[in-house]
Amino acid sequence: MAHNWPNAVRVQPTNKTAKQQITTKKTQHLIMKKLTTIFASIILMTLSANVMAQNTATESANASATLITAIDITKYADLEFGKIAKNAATAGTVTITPTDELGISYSPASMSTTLADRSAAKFTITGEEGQNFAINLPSTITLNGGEGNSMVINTAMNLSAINNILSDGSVDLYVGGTLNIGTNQAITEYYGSFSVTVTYE
Amino acid sequence: MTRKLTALSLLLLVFVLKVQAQATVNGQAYAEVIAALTASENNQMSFGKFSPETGGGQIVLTPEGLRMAVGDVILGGGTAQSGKFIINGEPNASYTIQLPTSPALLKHSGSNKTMVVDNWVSDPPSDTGASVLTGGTETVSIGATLIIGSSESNPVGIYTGTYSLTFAYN
Repeated sequence: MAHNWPNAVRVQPTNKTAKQQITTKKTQHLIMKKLTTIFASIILMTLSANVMAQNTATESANASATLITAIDITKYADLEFGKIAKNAATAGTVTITPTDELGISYSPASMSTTLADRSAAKFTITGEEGQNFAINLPSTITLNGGEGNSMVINTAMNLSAINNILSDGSVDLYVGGTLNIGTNQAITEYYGSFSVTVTYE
Repeated sequence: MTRKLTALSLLLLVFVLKVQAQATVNGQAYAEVIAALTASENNQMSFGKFSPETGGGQIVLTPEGLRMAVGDVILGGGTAQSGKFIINGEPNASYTIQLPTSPALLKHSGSNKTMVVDNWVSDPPSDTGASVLTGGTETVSIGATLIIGSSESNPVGIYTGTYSLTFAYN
Protein backbone atom coordinates (compact mmCIF):
# COMPACT_ATOMS: atom_id res chain seq x y z
CA MET A 1 0.00 0.00 0.00
CA ALA A 2 1.38 3.28 -1.03
CA HIS A 3 1.22 6.08 1.37
CA ASN A 4 1.53 9.62 0.25
CA TRP A 5 3.44 10.94 3.22
CA PRO A 6 3.61 14.71 3.30
CA ASN A 7 7.13 16.01 3.40
CA ALA A 8 8.37 16.35 6.91
CA VAL A 9 11.03 18.97 7.07
CA ARG A 10 13.41 18.86 9.91
CA VAL A 11 15.77 21.79 10.03
CA GLN A 12 18.91 21.02 11.95
CA PRO A 13 20.19 24.04 13.88
CA THR A 14 23.93 24.37 14.17
CA ASN A 15 23.61 25.62 17.68
CA LYS A 16 21.24 23.47 19.63
CA THR A 17 20.92 25.93 22.45
CA ALA A 18 19.60 28.46 20.01
CA LYS A 19 16.61 26.37 19.15
CA GLN A 20 13.51 28.32 18.67
CA GLN A 21 10.16 26.99 17.83
CA ILE A 22 8.17 29.48 15.91
CA THR A 23 4.92 28.38 14.44
CA THR A 24 2.89 30.32 12.01
CA LYS A 25 -0.64 29.70 10.97
CA LYS A 26 0.66 27.96 7.90
CA THR A 27 2.86 25.72 9.98
CA GLN A 28 0.01 24.96 12.34
CA HIS A 29 -2.12 23.96 9.41
CA LEU A 30 0.70 21.82 8.15
CA ILE A 31 1.01 20.15 11.53
CA MET A 32 -2.74 19.62 11.63
CA LYS A 33 -2.69 18.20 8.17
CA LYS A 34 0.15 15.89 9.07
CA LEU A 35 -1.59 14.76 12.23
CA THR A 36 -4.74 14.08 10.30
CA THR A 37 -2.84 12.13 7.76
CA ILE A 38 -1.00 10.18 10.41
CA PHE A 39 -4.21 9.48 12.25
CA ALA A 40 -5.77 8.21 9.12
CA SER A 41 -2.73 6.16 8.40
CA ILE A 42 -2.75 4.70 11.90
CA ILE A 43 -6.33 3.61 11.47
CA LEU A 44 -5.50 2.00 8.20
CA MET A 45 -2.52 0.33 9.75
CA THR A 46 -4.49 -0.96 12.67
CA LEU A 47 -7.02 -2.48 10.45
CA SER A 48 -4.49 -3.93 8.24
CA ALA A 49 -3.22 -7.31 9.02
CA ASN A 50 0.22 -6.37 7.90
CA VAL A 51 1.55 -3.75 10.19
CA MET A 52 4.10 -1.53 8.60
CA ALA A 53 7.21 -0.84 10.42
CA GLN A 54 7.98 2.63 11.51
CA ASN A 55 8.12 4.93 8.57
CA THR A 56 10.02 8.07 8.85
CA ALA A 57 10.61 10.63 6.32
CA THR A 58 13.36 12.89 7.15
CA GLU A 59 14.75 15.64 5.15
CA SER A 60 17.40 17.95 6.24
CA ALA A 61 17.66 21.40 4.95
CA ASN A 62 20.31 23.90 5.45
CA ALA A 63 19.50 27.36 6.60
CA SER A 64 21.99 29.99 5.87
CA ALA A 65 22.10 33.72 5.68
CA THR A 66 24.65 36.13 4.33
CA LEU A 67 25.14 39.36 6.14
CA ILE A 68 25.97 42.21 3.75
CA THR A 69 27.05 45.75 4.35
CA ALA A 70 24.15 48.11 4.90
CA ILE A 71 23.53 50.68 2.20
CA ASP A 72 24.13 54.24 3.31
CA ILE A 73 24.09 57.73 1.80
CA THR A 74 25.86 60.85 3.10
CA LYS A 75 25.51 64.43 1.93
CA TYR A 76 28.65 66.43 1.17
CA ALA A 77 27.25 69.51 -0.57
CA ASP A 78 23.91 71.27 -0.97
CA LEU A 79 22.47 72.55 -4.25
CA GLU A 80 23.43 76.23 -4.38
CA PHE A 81 22.45 78.68 -7.11
CA GLY A 82 24.13 81.70 -5.51
CA LYS A 83 22.93 85.25 -6.22
CA ILE A 84 21.07 85.79 -9.44
CA ALA A 85 20.75 89.34 -10.84
CA LYS A 86 17.32 89.97 -12.21
CA ASN A 87 16.21 92.76 -14.49
CA ALA A 88 12.64 93.84 -13.98
CA ALA A 89 10.11 91.87 -16.01
CA THR A 90 12.59 89.40 -17.44
CA ALA A 91 12.07 85.67 -16.91
CA GLY A 92 14.98 83.27 -17.18
CA THR A 93 16.71 80.11 -16.07
CA VAL A 94 19.90 79.10 -14.32
CA THR A 95 21.21 75.57 -14.92
CA ILE A 96 23.71 73.70 -12.78
CA THR A 97 25.08 70.51 -14.28
CA PRO A 98 25.28 67.53 -11.87
CA THR A 99 29.08 67.38 -11.89
CA ASP A 100 32.00 67.69 -9.54
CA GLU A 101 33.41 70.82 -11.18
CA LEU A 102 30.96 73.69 -11.30
CA GLY A 103 29.09 73.88 -14.58
CA ILE A 104 26.57 76.71 -14.57
CA SER A 105 24.78 78.65 -17.30
CA TYR A 106 22.40 81.59 -17.22
CA SER A 107 19.72 82.58 -19.65
CA PRO A 108 19.84 85.53 -20.14
CA ALA A 109 23.57 85.78 -19.43
CA SER A 110 23.10 89.16 -17.73
CA MET A 111 21.68 87.31 -14.71
CA SER A 112 25.01 85.77 -13.78
CA THR A 113 26.97 86.83 -10.71
CA THR A 114 29.78 85.19 -8.75
CA LEU A 115 28.76 86.92 -5.56
CA ALA A 116 27.94 83.75 -3.61
CA ASP A 117 28.72 80.02 -3.64
CA ARG A 118 27.28 78.00 -6.46
CA SER A 119 27.51 74.20 -6.60
CA ALA A 120 25.76 70.98 -7.49
CA ALA A 121 24.65 68.87 -4.53
CA LYS A 122 26.95 65.95 -3.79
CA PHE A 123 26.22 62.69 -1.99
CA THR A 124 28.27 59.56 -1.45
CA ILE A 125 26.54 56.15 -1.47
CA THR A 126 28.31 53.26 0.27
CA GLY A 127 27.43 49.60 0.65
CA GLU A 128 28.21 46.05 -0.38
CA GLU A 129 30.49 45.82 -3.39
CA GLY A 130 28.71 44.52 -6.47
CA GLN A 131 25.20 45.21 -5.22
CA ASN A 132 22.58 46.86 -7.40
CA PHE A 133 20.68 49.78 -5.97
CA ALA A 134 17.88 52.12 -6.95
CA ILE A 135 17.88 55.87 -6.37
CA ASN A 136 14.78 57.90 -5.62
CA LEU A 137 15.13 61.63 -6.22
CA PRO A 138 12.21 64.03 -6.70
CA SER A 139 11.90 65.46 -10.21
CA THR A 140 11.30 68.97 -8.84
CA ILE A 141 12.38 70.97 -5.81
CA THR A 142 10.38 74.04 -4.77
CA LEU A 143 12.28 76.96 -3.27
CA ASN A 144 10.25 79.20 -0.98
CA GLY A 145 10.95 82.89 -0.49
CA GLY A 146 8.14 83.74 1.89
CA GLU A 147 4.94 85.69 1.19
CA GLY A 148 3.92 83.26 -1.51
CA ASN A 149 7.11 83.71 -3.53
CA SER A 150 8.57 80.52 -4.89
CA MET A 151 10.69 79.09 -7.68
CA VAL A 152 10.88 75.55 -9.04
CA ILE A 153 14.00 73.54 -9.86
CA ASN A 154 13.75 70.72 -12.38
CA THR A 155 16.32 68.29 -11.06
CA ALA A 156 19.04 66.41 -12.91
CA MET A 157 21.38 63.80 -11.48
CA ASN A 158 24.57 61.98 -12.36
CA LEU A 159 26.18 58.91 -10.82
CA SER A 160 29.82 57.99 -10.88
CA ALA A 161 28.78 54.33 -11.29
CA ILE A 162 27.57 52.38 -14.31
CA ASN A 163 24.21 50.62 -14.08
CA ASN A 164 23.79 51.53 -10.43
CA ILE A 165 26.26 48.97 -9.14
CA LEU A 166 28.44 49.65 -6.14
CA SER A 167 31.44 48.33 -8.04
CA ASP A 168 33.96 49.32 -5.40
CA GLY A 169 31.58 49.87 -2.55
CA SER A 170 31.35 53.65 -2.95
CA VAL A 171 29.61 55.82 -5.53
CA ASP A 172 29.25 59.58 -5.86
CA LEU A 173 25.88 61.07 -6.75
CA TYR A 174 25.58 64.64 -8.06
CA VAL A 175 22.31 66.56 -8.18
CA GLY A 176 21.90 69.69 -10.29
CA GLY A 177 19.04 71.10 -12.27
CA THR A 178 17.39 74.08 -13.92
CA LEU A 179 16.02 76.87 -11.76
CA ASN A 180 13.06 78.71 -13.30
CA ILE A 181 12.89 82.42 -12.54
CA GLY A 182 9.57 84.13 -13.18
CA THR A 183 8.93 87.43 -14.94
CA ASN A 184 8.48 89.43 -11.76
CA GLN A 185 10.35 87.19 -9.36
CA ALA A 186 10.62 88.82 -5.94
CA ILE A 187 14.05 89.97 -4.78
CA THR A 188 14.71 87.82 -1.72
CA GLU A 189 16.33 84.61 -0.52
CA TYR A 190 14.75 81.28 -1.41
CA TYR A 191 15.17 78.00 0.50
CA GLY A 192 14.11 74.43 -0.18
CA SER A 193 14.93 70.85 0.76
CA PHE A 194 14.75 67.44 -0.86
CA SER A 195 15.22 63.79 0.08
CA VAL A 196 17.34 61.20 -1.69
CA THR A 197 16.62 57.53 -0.96
CA VAL A 198 18.78 54.59 -2.02
CA THR A 199 17.54 50.99 -1.87
CA TYR A 200 19.21 47.68 -2.55
CA GLU A 201 17.55 45.84 -5.40
CA MET B 1 7.21 -5.70 15.04
CA THR B 2 6.69 -2.47 16.70
CA ARG B 3 4.58 0.31 15.72
CA LYS B 4 6.19 3.46 16.28
CA LEU B 5 4.47 6.65 15.81
CA THR B 6 6.95 9.05 14.74
CA ALA B 7 6.35 12.19 16.51
CA LEU B 8 6.63 14.87 14.04
CA SER B 9 7.90 18.05 15.26
CA LEU B 10 8.41 20.87 13.06
CA LEU B 11 11.34 22.91 13.88
CA LEU B 12 11.61 26.17 12.21
CA LEU B 13 14.66 28.17 12.77
CA VAL B 14 14.40 31.66 11.59
CA PHE B 15 17.44 33.84 11.52
CA VAL B 16 16.22 37.34 11.96
CA LEU B 17 18.72 39.62 10.34
CA LYS B 18 18.54 43.31 10.54
CA VAL B 19 20.10 44.39 7.26
CA GLN B 20 19.63 48.00 6.29
CA ALA B 21 18.46 47.74 2.68
CA GLN B 22 17.46 51.40 2.36
CA ALA B 23 18.85 54.74 3.39
CA THR B 24 17.60 58.33 3.05
CA VAL B 25 19.31 61.69 3.38
CA ASN B 26 18.07 65.27 3.11
CA GLY B 27 19.68 67.93 0.96
CA GLN B 28 19.13 71.69 0.96
CA ALA B 29 18.68 73.92 -2.06
CA TYR B 30 19.21 77.68 -2.10
CA ALA B 31 19.03 80.65 -4.43
CA GLU B 32 18.86 84.39 -3.96
CA VAL B 33 17.36 86.80 -6.46
CA ILE B 34 19.00 90.25 -6.33
CA ALA B 35 18.39 93.46 -8.22
CA ALA B 36 20.33 93.78 -11.43
CA LEU B 37 23.10 96.37 -11.43
CA THR B 38 22.00 99.62 -13.07
CA ALA B 39 24.06 102.63 -14.06
CA SER B 40 22.96 106.06 -15.23
CA GLU B 41 24.96 109.09 -16.29
CA ASN B 42 24.69 111.95 -13.84
CA ASN B 43 27.29 114.38 -15.24
CA GLN B 44 28.48 114.67 -18.79
CA MET B 45 32.28 114.75 -19.06
CA SER B 46 33.45 118.15 -20.33
CA PHE B 47 36.88 119.69 -20.90
CA GLY B 48 35.39 123.14 -20.90
CA LYS B 49 36.76 125.99 -23.03
CA PHE B 50 40.39 126.30 -24.18
CA SER B 51 42.62 127.55 -26.90
CA PRO B 52 45.01 125.18 -28.70
CA GLU B 53 47.42 127.99 -29.62
CA THR B 54 50.18 127.17 -32.04
CA GLY B 55 51.24 123.70 -31.06
CA GLY B 56 48.26 122.30 -29.27
CA GLY B 57 48.87 119.96 -26.37
CA GLN B 58 46.70 118.18 -23.87
CA ILE B 59 44.19 118.77 -21.13
CA VAL B 60 44.22 116.29 -18.28
CA LEU B 61 40.85 116.07 -16.51
CA THR B 62 40.91 114.31 -13.12
CA PRO B 63 37.94 112.31 -11.70
CA GLU B 64 37.55 115.19 -9.25
CA GLY B 65 36.93 117.52 -12.19
CA LEU B 66 40.23 119.49 -12.10
CA ARG B 67 41.95 120.44 -15.34
CA MET B 68 45.65 120.63 -16.07
CA ALA B 69 46.95 122.08 -19.35
CA VAL B 70 49.95 120.53 -21.10
CA GLY B 71 51.88 122.09 -24.00
CA ASP B 72 50.68 125.31 -25.65
CA VAL B 73 47.09 124.87 -24.54
CA ILE B 74 45.54 127.73 -22.63
CA LEU B 75 42.55 126.96 -20.46
CA GLY B 76 39.48 129.13 -20.73
CA GLY B 77 36.24 129.11 -18.76
CA GLY B 78 33.15 127.12 -19.49
CA THR B 79 32.01 124.15 -17.50
CA ALA B 80 34.73 121.58 -16.98
CA GLN B 81 33.60 118.50 -15.13
CA SER B 82 34.41 114.81 -14.87
CA GLY B 83 31.88 112.24 -15.98
CA LYS B 84 29.71 110.94 -13.10
CA PHE B 85 27.62 107.79 -12.99
CA ILE B 86 25.21 106.52 -10.33
CA ILE B 87 25.40 102.77 -9.82
CA ASN B 88 22.54 100.95 -8.05
CA GLY B 89 22.22 97.32 -7.01
CA GLU B 90 22.50 94.74 -4.25
CA PRO B 91 23.65 96.38 -1.00
CA ASN B 92 27.34 95.68 -0.26
CA ALA B 93 27.78 93.60 -3.39
CA SER B 94 31.17 93.78 -5.02
CA TYR B 95 31.32 95.05 -8.57
CA THR B 96 33.91 95.90 -11.19
CA ILE B 97 34.31 98.95 -13.40
CA GLN B 98 35.55 98.47 -16.90
CA LEU B 99 36.86 101.63 -18.55
CA PRO B 100 36.81 102.14 -22.34
CA THR B 101 39.39 99.94 -24.06
CA SER B 102 39.95 102.38 -26.90
CA PRO B 103 40.06 106.19 -27.31
CA ALA B 104 36.93 108.21 -27.94
CA LEU B 105 36.74 110.47 -30.97
CA LEU B 106 35.25 113.94 -30.53
CA LYS B 107 33.94 115.36 -33.81
CA HIS B 108 33.74 118.99 -34.74
CA SER B 109 30.19 120.10 -35.32
CA GLY B 110 31.04 122.16 -38.38
CA SER B 111 33.70 120.03 -40.10
CA ASN B 112 35.30 116.61 -40.13
CA LYS B 113 38.00 117.60 -37.67
CA THR B 114 38.45 115.41 -34.61
CA MET B 115 40.11 115.30 -31.23
CA VAL B 116 41.01 112.22 -29.26
CA VAL B 117 40.17 111.41 -25.63
CA ASP B 118 42.21 108.67 -23.96
CA ASN B 119 43.95 107.62 -20.71
CA TRP B 120 40.70 106.97 -18.91
CA VAL B 121 40.77 106.94 -15.11
CA SER B 122 38.06 106.40 -12.51
CA ASP B 123 37.28 106.97 -8.87
CA PRO B 124 36.90 104.42 -7.34
CA PRO B 125 39.80 102.97 -9.34
CA SER B 126 39.04 100.19 -11.79
CA ASP B 127 42.37 98.37 -11.71
CA THR B 128 42.70 97.54 -8.02
CA GLY B 129 40.05 94.84 -7.88
CA ALA B 130 36.37 95.02 -7.20
CA SER B 131 34.64 97.90 -5.49
CA VAL B 132 31.85 97.58 -2.94
CA LEU B 133 28.37 98.90 -3.51
CA THR B 134 28.09 100.33 0.00
CA GLY B 135 24.44 100.79 0.88
CA GLY B 136 23.47 99.62 -2.58
CA THR B 137 24.50 102.80 -4.40
CA GLU B 138 27.75 104.40 -5.53
CA THR B 139 28.91 107.36 -7.61
CA VAL B 140 31.71 106.59 -10.05
CA SER B 141 33.67 109.55 -11.45
CA ILE B 142 35.55 109.35 -14.74
CA GLY B 143 38.47 111.50 -15.90
CA ALA B 144 40.54 111.37 -19.09
CA THR B 145 43.07 113.22 -21.26
CA LEU B 146 42.09 115.31 -24.29
CA ILE B 147 44.70 115.41 -27.06
CA ILE B 148 44.61 118.71 -28.89
CA GLY B 149 46.22 119.46 -32.23
CA SER B 150 47.26 122.83 -33.57
CA SER B 151 44.63 125.53 -34.21
CA GLU B 152 44.78 124.44 -37.82
CA SER B 153 43.90 120.86 -36.98
CA ASN B 154 41.32 121.82 -34.42
CA PRO B 155 39.33 124.88 -35.52
CA VAL B 156 37.06 126.76 -33.18
CA GLY B 157 33.81 125.08 -32.29
CA ILE B 158 32.15 122.38 -30.26
CA TYR B 159 33.48 118.84 -30.40
CA THR B 160 31.34 115.94 -29.09
CA GLY B 161 31.59 112.22 -28.83
CA THR B 162 30.59 109.19 -26.76
CA TYR B 163 32.31 106.59 -24.61
CA SER B 164 31.05 103.46 -22.87
CA LEU B 165 31.71 101.90 -19.50
CA THR B 166 30.77 98.46 -18.18
CA PHE B 167 29.77 97.78 -14.58
CA ALA B 168 29.30 94.20 -13.44
CA TYR B 169 28.70 92.26 -10.25
CA ASN B 170 31.78 90.35 -9.28
